[in-house]
Amino acid sequence: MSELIVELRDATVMQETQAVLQGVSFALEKSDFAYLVGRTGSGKSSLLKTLYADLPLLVGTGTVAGFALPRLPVGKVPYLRRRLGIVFQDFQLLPDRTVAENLLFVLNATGWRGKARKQQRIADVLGRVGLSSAANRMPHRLSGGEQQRVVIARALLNEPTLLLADEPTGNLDPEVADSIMQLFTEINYAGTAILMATHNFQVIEKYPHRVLTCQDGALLDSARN
Amino acid sequence: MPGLSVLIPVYNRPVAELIEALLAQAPQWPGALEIYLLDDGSDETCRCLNQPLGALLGVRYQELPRNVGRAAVRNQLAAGARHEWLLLLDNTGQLPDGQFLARYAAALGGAPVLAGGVCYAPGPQPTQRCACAGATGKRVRCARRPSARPRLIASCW
Repeated sequence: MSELIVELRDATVMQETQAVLQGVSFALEKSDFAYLVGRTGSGKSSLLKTLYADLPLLVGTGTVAGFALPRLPVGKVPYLRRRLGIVFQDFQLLPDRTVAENLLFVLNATGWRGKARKQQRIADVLGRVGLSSAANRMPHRLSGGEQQRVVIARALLNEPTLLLADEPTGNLDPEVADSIMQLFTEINYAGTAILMATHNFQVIEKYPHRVLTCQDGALLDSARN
Repeated sequence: MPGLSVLIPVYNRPVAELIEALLAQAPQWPGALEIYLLDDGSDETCRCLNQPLGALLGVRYQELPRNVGRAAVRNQLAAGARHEWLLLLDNTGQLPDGQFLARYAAALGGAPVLAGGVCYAPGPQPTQRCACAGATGKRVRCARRPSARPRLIASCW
């Protein structure tokens, strides 16, 4: 049987004090790639926040990367988050540090020890996103697409089993978005499940995967239709 | 287990180093933990330095449209905190060692309010302000000021 990376059962997703999605049940396996679509305010971001434990799961049950969500606030949140990678629309690199220093920041913040180990890990992830030569460059010297690659490299630092992406191609030209999608595809083939919230239907058409749709307070799953 | 909100008013200081250290210690706290930064109308140059911290898991970053002063910011932080315990720090501080959160975790339940105190770094340090090149994209320099180490006050609401 395949390993389940995400499983929600009859979950209610909250936004402030309101339920935005109810009766949410879906699972992602290790090799899955799924899109999350829906209008602004339909609950996409709240669902992602629930998965990375920024919003509590009060109704229903769920597991993410081996952690049980309803029982999570028991000191496990930092550990859960280390098993997840996250990529947002804005590139969000620290502007006063080089690419390598941005990655080092996250390694330090997630408890890595040993200078050589950290340097090796930084070289590994930059290699994976095709930016080995950019380690010592400042973020503003990189193009938007390159900055997003660095953010993806940062998300890969702790070898996540699940990569959550919230509109990762939102600020990019179509060509650049395409190269980012190819990178996600490679990462997915290498064994990381990906859940990507997007409005970009051109991307979905070109790289077809399962689609989860937030609509009218429910989550519709293309795999079940 | 009780959650902890680490509340930090931010005004014209880069806080990445402090956040890096706090996140590294997050597993020492036995419950949920958030770091909540509220910028009190800093210069754009400084906001640019701190904004990306909001993309880190476990960190919430918000900005006020204008400066209202540290006390008012603390009240807003406390009002918006998600957790039961509040740890109030200043943006000029650094953690004194690697067991900072562990000491609070160990003291939990001992009293409704805990005051951790402040230790000052020995000897003079370079003065600083946020002398930043800003959004034009030049390398930003931020020195450190003779820094009060963090004010460690946690109170239970």
